Amino acid sequence: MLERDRRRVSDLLADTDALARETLLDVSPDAAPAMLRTFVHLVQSAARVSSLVPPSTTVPTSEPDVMVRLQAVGRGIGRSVAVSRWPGPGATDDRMSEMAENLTRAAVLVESHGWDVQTATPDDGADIQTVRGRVIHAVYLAAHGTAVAVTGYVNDLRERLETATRRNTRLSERPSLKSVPAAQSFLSRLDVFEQLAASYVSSHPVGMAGHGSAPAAPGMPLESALARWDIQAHRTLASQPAPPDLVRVARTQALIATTAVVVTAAAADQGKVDRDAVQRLTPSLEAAQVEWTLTANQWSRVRSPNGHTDHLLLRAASDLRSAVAATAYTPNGWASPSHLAEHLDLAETVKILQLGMVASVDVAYVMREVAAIGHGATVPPQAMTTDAQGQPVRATDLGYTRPHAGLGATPRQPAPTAARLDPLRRRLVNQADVVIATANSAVAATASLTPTTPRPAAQPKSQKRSNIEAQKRNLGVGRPPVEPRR
Amino acid sequence: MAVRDMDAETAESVAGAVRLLRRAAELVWVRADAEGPRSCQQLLALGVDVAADEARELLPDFVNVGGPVPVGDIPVDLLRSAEQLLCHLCRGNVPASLHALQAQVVELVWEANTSAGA
Repeated sequence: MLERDRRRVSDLLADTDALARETLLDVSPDAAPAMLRTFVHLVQSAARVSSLVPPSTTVPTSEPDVMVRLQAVGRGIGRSVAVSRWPGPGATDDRMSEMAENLTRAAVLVESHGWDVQTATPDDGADIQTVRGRVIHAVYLAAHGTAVAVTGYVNDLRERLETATRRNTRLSERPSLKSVPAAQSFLSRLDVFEQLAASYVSSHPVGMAGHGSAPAAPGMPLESALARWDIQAHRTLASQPAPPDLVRVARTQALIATTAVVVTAAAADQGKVDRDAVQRLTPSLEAAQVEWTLTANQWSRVRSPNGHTDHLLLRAASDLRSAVAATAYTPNGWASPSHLAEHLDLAETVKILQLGMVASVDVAYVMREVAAIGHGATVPPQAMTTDAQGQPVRATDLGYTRPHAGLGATPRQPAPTAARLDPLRRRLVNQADVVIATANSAVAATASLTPTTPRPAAQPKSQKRSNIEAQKRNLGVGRPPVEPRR
Repeated sequence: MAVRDMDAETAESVAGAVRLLRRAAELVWVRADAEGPRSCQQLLALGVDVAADEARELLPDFVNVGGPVPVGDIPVDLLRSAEQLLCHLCRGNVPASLHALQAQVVELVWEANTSAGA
C-alpha cells in the first residue's frame, strides 16, 4: 500500500531544490533525450505553482511575471521536442519527473487549502514570496543540467564517430551525426531559457534555507515592455499565426536590434561599457537587424490584404514602440549619447537590451518552425496535427490553442494551398536559418560586454567575461563547452 | 454604435483609411530599409503599420480592404489624408475606438512632420 504523502509545500520545494542540484552533480549524456522530453512538464508544473503566489506588494502589477516568460519559452521547446526527429519518443527522466510531481503536488495543496495551512512554521521564517524565487531557481538549475547533458551527448557522439573512423569500422556500424543539428538548436534555446531565468535569479538569490533576499527595484518601462513583447510573441506564434503576425514579429525584433545598437553605442561613447567590445559587436547587432528586416519582407509577400494581425500582438508591439520612443528617441531622431546618459542608467539599459537579444534567439527558432511545419501560417489547419515525419500528433501536445478570443477577435485568413507555397516555404526556412545564425552571433558578441567603472588609467582587458558565467560560478555550476568539430 | 454595426459608408471610409495608412507605412519602410540598421524611420514605420493594423481590426471581415493603391509617394501627405478621412468620420456618432485611431494618426502626422520623420 502506498504511503500517503504528508509533505508540506515547503518540504516539496526543498525536495525539488535538492533534486535540481542533483541534476548538475550527476549528469549523463545518455540522459539527454529523457531530460529534454521531461523539461516542458517541469516548466509547466513550476508555472502552475508560481501563478498561485500572491502578488508582491513591492513589485508593480504591470511587471510581467518572469515565470510566464519562461513558460512561453519552455512550451516552445516542448513543441519542438514533440516534432523533431531527435530526441524522438521515449522514456522521461525520473529525477525531473519527480521534480514536476513535487511542484504539481505543491500546487494542488495550495489550491485545496490555501497558503496559510501549507507554509512553514513561523520559527523557520520562510516567506511565501520566496516560493517564486525557489521555483525559478529550480527550473534554472534543471535547464542548465539538461544543457550539460545535451552538450555531453553531442561531444560523446563525435568522439565515438572519431574512434570508429580511426578503427576503420564499417560505415553502417558508425554512429550517425544526424541528431547533432537538432541537439545544438536545443542547446541554443536552453541557453535562452537559462539567461532569462538567470536575470531573475541574480537579483533574487535563494540560499539552501530557502530564504530570499529583497526583490530588486521595479524594472524600467523598457524592460517590462520587452518582457511583455517576448511573452506575447511566443503566445501568438504558438496559436496558428497568420502571415501578418509573422511580419509584425519580425519588424518588432528588428527594432529591438536597432535599439540595442543605438544604446550600446551610446554606452560606449560615455565610457559605461568597453568600447572595443562594442566596436566588435555592433556589426553583429546590425546584421541581426538586417536579417529580421528581410524576414519581414519575405512574410509580407505571402500575406493577404484582408489578413488580420493578432490584436494582443499589436498591443504588445505598440507598447514596446512607445517604450523605445520614451527611452531612446527624440523628435530629432535617436537621442544623442549625452542625452541618453542624462536620462538613463546606460549600463543597466544595455543589460536589458542584451536580454532582449537573447530572447530573440528563441523567437527565431519558433518562427523557423512555423515556416517549416506550418503551424497554421502556411499550410491548411488539418496538417497541424502531423509531425515532421507525418506521424499523428495531438494539437494539444504541441500547446496549440484556439485563436485568442475577445473583443474584436476574428477568424484567421485561410492559408494558401501547400502546392503554391512549397517553394516559398523553402525560402522562408532558409531565411529563418540565417536569422538564427545572426541572432546567435549577436548574443555571443553581447556576452562580452561588461559595464566599466570610472577609472583614471587604462585597465587590463583580460577581465572580460560574461555576466552569466559569473553567476554560474557563484552557483557552483559550469558547462563544458561543445567541442568544435575537427 | 458598436464597431461591427457600422454602416457600409463608414466601413468603406475606414477601409480607405487602412489603404492610406498601409501605403504610407510601405513608403516609410522603404526609406527605413534604405537608410540601414540605425534608421530612425523604423519607429515611425512601425507606428504607421500598427495604426493600419488597428484600423483593419475595426472592420468586419466581409469588408474588402484590398483596393486601389492610393496615389502619392509622400508619407506625410498620405497620413494627413488618412487623418482627414477619420476626422470627417468622427464628427458623427462613431465608437470611441475610431476617435482613438484618429488621435493616433494625428500623432503620426506630427512625428512624420518633424525632422526625424521628414
